[in-house]
Amino acid sequence: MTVNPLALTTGTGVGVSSGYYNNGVSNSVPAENIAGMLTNGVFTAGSAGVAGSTGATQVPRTADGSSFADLLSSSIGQLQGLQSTADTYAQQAATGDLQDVHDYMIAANEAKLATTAVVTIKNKAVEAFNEIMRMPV
Amino acid sequence: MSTFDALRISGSGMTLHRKYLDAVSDNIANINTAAAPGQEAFKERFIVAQAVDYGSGTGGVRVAGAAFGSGEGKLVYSPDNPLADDEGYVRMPDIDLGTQMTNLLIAQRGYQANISAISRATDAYQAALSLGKNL
Repeated sequence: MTVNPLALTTGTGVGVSSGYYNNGVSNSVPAENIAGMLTNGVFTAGSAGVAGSTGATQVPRTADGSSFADLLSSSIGQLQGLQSTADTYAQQAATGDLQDVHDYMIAANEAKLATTAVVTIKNKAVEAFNEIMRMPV
Repeated sequence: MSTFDALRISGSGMTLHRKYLDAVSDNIANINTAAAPGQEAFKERFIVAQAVDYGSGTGGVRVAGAAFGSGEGKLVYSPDNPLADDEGYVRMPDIDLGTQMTNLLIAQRGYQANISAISRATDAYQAALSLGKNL
C-alpha cells in the first residue's frame, strides 16, 4: 500500500488513511479539522503534514510571532491611515488650505500603490487557498 | 520608514524647492522696493536646507529656516522719489536680478528633478506589484 503524503492520519473522525482511492474508507475530512482550518490556519489541520517534512505543523509566523491574518489586518489598518491622509489633503485642497499641491498628489499616489499592494497580496492568498481546496484528497 | 519611502523623500525635496521658488519670487518682487536712506533696505531671502538622516529619520530634506541678507543695500541717486533724503538718495536692495534668475532656474529644475524621481519610483513600485498579478 502506497502512502499518500497528503493523508490526514490524525483526528477523531474518519480521515483518509492512505492511498488515493481507498475502498471502504470514507473520504470525508473530519469536521474538527475543517473548523481548525478556519481558526488556526490551513497548516494546523491534521498534525501529519507532509510526509518527510521537518515537522512544520504550525501556522507560519514571522520573527515577531504574527501570522498572515495579523499581517493582513495590520496592512489594511495602515491602508486606512494612508487613505484618510489623502482625504485630509483633498479636503484642504477644496477649502484652500492646501500649502503644497504635491503633498496631496503624493499622498493619493501612495494610497493607490498601497491599496494595489494589499489587494494583490490578498488575491494571491485567496488564490493559494483555493488551489489547496481544489486539491483532491 | 514605510514601504514607499521614495515618494515621501522626493516630496520633501519638492517642498524645499517650492519654498526656494517662493524665496526667489520674493527677492524678484522686491527688487525695486526703495526705502528711505535712514531705513534698512529689503533683505535678500535665502532658504536653509538641512538633510534628514535616512538611517534614524525618514530621509529627505527639510527646511531648517530662512536666512536674510544684508539690509545695507545700496544708495541710489533718485531725487524725484518721495522717499529721497535732502541729498536726493534712496536705499535700494542690493539684489542682482541675474543671480535671482539663475536661482529661479535652479529651483525650477530641482523641483522637476524630484517629480521625475517620484514618477520613476511609482513606475518601479507598479512593476513590482505587477509581479503578483500575472504569475
